Parts: sequence; structure tokens; C-alpha cells
Amino acid sequence: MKPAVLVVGADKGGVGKTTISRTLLDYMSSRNLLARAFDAEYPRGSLKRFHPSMTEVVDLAAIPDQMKILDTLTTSERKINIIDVRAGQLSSTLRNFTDIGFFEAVRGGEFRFALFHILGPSVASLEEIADVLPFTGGKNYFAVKNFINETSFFEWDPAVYDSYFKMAKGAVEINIPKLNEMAYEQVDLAGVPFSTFIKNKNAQGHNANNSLVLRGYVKTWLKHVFDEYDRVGLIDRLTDE
Amino acid sequence: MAEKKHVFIVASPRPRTGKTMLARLIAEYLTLAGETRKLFDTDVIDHKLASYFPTQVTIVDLERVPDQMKLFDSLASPVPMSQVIDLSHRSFAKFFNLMRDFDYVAEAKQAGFHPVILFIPDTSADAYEQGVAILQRFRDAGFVLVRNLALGEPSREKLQEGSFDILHSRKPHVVMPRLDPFTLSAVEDPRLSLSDFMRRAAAPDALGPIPPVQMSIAYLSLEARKATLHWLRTMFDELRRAIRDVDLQADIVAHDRFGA
Repeated sequence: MKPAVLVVGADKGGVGKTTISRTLLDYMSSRNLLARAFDAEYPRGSLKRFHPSMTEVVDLAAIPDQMKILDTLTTSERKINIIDVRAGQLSSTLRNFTDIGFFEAVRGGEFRFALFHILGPSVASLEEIADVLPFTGGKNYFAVKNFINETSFFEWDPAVYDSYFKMAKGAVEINIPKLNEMAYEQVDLAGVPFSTFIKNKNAQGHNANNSLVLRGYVKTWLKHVFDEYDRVGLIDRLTDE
Repeated sequence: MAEKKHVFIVASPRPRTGKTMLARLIAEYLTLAGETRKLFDTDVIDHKLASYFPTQVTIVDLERVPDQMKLFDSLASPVPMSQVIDLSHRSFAKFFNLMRDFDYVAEAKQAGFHPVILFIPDTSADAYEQGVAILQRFRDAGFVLVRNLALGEPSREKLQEGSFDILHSRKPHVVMPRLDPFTLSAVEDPRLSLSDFMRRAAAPDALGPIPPVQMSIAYLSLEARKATLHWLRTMFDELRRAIRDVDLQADIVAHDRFGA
């Protein structure tokens, strides 16, 4: 299997990038795929808090850290690489990757690449699509609408949205459904992967005392998220030879 | 097996089928058996079970997550005790959907509880179909068909077919005999403690004078008291037998799974 890089990002903050990255890590392990994650929220690292053993905190603007990711793609046994890009750095990161020649290698068939572009409810999100698209060539571009908090409604005019969406040929839309806010908060407090919370374990693998009700909500929600990833054939897109 | 804690879910898709009466009887049955228990009423508008046990019933609104937690998370309480849920017809679908989403039966069994659904249909095909759906959806839970004779029974021919036949040919049943209206109104007096009534009938002098809040019982004619007592004995026998049978079924299933 070729190494695959999955970039999760948005130019706007607070759209739930880390949450989506967490579901992706859970999804990969549920499908028995070894993954590693890079958390670009340097130096804090909120993804690392939930998935400490497979996450490394990196500064994507620093060359040594870029090397840490890209130069180890072929040697690492963990073939799925999830990069949680810091808010506002998506375009610059993609530009850096272009300069390094990463996308050329992708076109040459050396690596697999996918972009999870997390869209927020504001129109500004749509304008990002135009900025980001040229880098990916539209291939494996996922427009992810995140309803997890459902605090604000998506205020796009459908016609405007379609016009942006059409630019991205072959773009795929993913909808992340709402998760009950109490359940979300409890997982956040527990600081464990969603799948661990569902199994009622703590970070050390011991039995936890999580609410059956809240575990039920997380389980149902995560199943819907996984169904979305299945629907768009995410695994095939990342692993097909 | 005597240690086994139950979650009794008294359910009907219809109003006025005798759910609250049955939930109350189970609560009193547990009291007579010396068991402490938790009582839940899911009817936020007309919480009748709460009127019988005002200090003991927790009223839960299943549309609210904190209330869902009160009900379903009570499995995890440090002192495990049996539970009785008087499930309103208004929250029938909601409850069973949550129960499925939370994988409640498996969780309950893991925590040492045996969930038992006591299903009371009226005579309609629709009610029986809903019963079959519940039965098939929760195969690992105990299931008891409750035949409240006050509602009438489907015709003999009907009982041979489809959903009627599936539920009817399955054991155990609990049969609630008809009560004449006069006795019924006496029994339905919220001030009357059924377990107390039974204890007094068994040992008239042991418990001292009837407390003023339960005077209604003292006004009953001898005839009515005899009828009440007979009805209650029948009901408690029915419950004892049904609980024993669902426990046996659960043990057989567990044995098949781990033994063979």
C-alpha cells in the first residue's frame, strides 16, 4: 500500500477540524488501518490530547517538521497520515507542499492524497474553496460540512454554493451530523478517543464510569459519521493501487 | 438467581390499558418480597404512578437528555436495585428507540440486571404488531404478554393468525382478571397501600390500627375486601410465576450460549 496523506483543514478557525481528525483516526483503526497523526496546533496540540500515542505536534512552517512528515512517508509502517492543519494555515501549507514537490509526487503516483476541507457556516468558507482548489487539482477533494455543534445554520444561498462546488470537478460532499452537546462535552472532559469513550474506558484502558446514555449518543453519532466515510469510499480512494 | 435485579418495563402503545395498575402491582410485589426498588414514570403530563408513590417515583421527560440519563444510567448506581418503569403510550416509540440506540439490554445484562418487557396490547391488530416488533427487536430481554381481561380479548379466530398468534403462543403471560367497578375504584384509591393491605389481611393484629391516610380500606364492605384480596392474590401469583419463567428462559439462553 502506498503512503496516503490526508490533510484536514480550513482557513477559518472553530469549524471543528480537530473533531473531524479524531473521527478519522477512530475510523482508520476501526478498519484496521494503521494511522499516524500530525497536529499542527503547535505548540499546544489538542489532537494530541485525545490520541497521544499516535499523534505528534508539529510546526508546519518549519522545515525540520516538514521533513519529519514527508521524508518518513515511505519508511513509516503507518501508511495513513492525517495532518490536522492549524486554522488559517491551509492555503500556506498547501503552497509549501507544492514548493517541496509533494503534489508532483502525488501526480507521479508515489503517494495518495486527500483534502478534507472543513466548511464553516459562513459564506467566507466558500471563498476558501477557490483558494484551495488549484493545489489539489480537484482530486480527492472533500467538502466537509460540519453540523456537529449546529449552533449556526449554514447561511449559504444554494445557488452560490453550487457555483463554488461546480468549480471542483469530482468534489465530494460529506456531512457530519450533530452530536448531542452534553455527550460532546463529556468526551471532551474525558480526553479520550470517541471509540474509547463508547467502550467505557479511560485513557489508561481501565473501566470508566461514563453515562450509558451519553455513550449511546456518541456511538450512534460515530456510526453515522463512519457511514458517511463509507458512502464516499474514503478507504478505497486512499488505498486503491 | 435470587440475587437477580430486574428492570420491569411496563409498556403499551395505547392509553388506558392498565399500565399504571400493573407497574404499581409490581412495585408492591417487590415491597412484599422485601426488595427495595426504583420507580420511574415517563408521563410528564399525567404521571399516575407518581400519585401512588409520591415520594418514590422519579418522573422523567424522555425528550430531555438529563432525564434520559436519570432513567437509563440508574443501572450504574452503587446500590443496584430492581426498577419499575411505567412507560407512557406517549413515549412508547421514543423509549424503545433510545433503548436500541444505547444497546441497553446488553449493558443491563453486563451490569447484572435482567430487563423484562411487560407488554399490554388492546385487542387491535396494530397493538399486536407493535408488540411483535418489540419482541423481535429485543430478543435478549424478557418479554411477557399481559392480557388485561378488562380490555376484552381478540376473537379465537384472530388469535390463530399473524401477530396475534406470535404473541399469544409465547409464554409466559400475565392475566389480569376483571374487577367489578366498585372494587376497582377502591383499589385505585391512591391512598391505599396494596402491600400494607396484604400484610394486614395475613396478620390482622400485627400491624396495629389502620393509619388515617388509609381509612378508605376500612370503609370497604367485607365482601369488597374479600374480592380485593382475592384479586390481589391472583395478581401477585401471576407476577411471581411470570418472573420465575422469564428468569428460567434467561438462564436457559445463558446456558446454551456458554454451556454447549
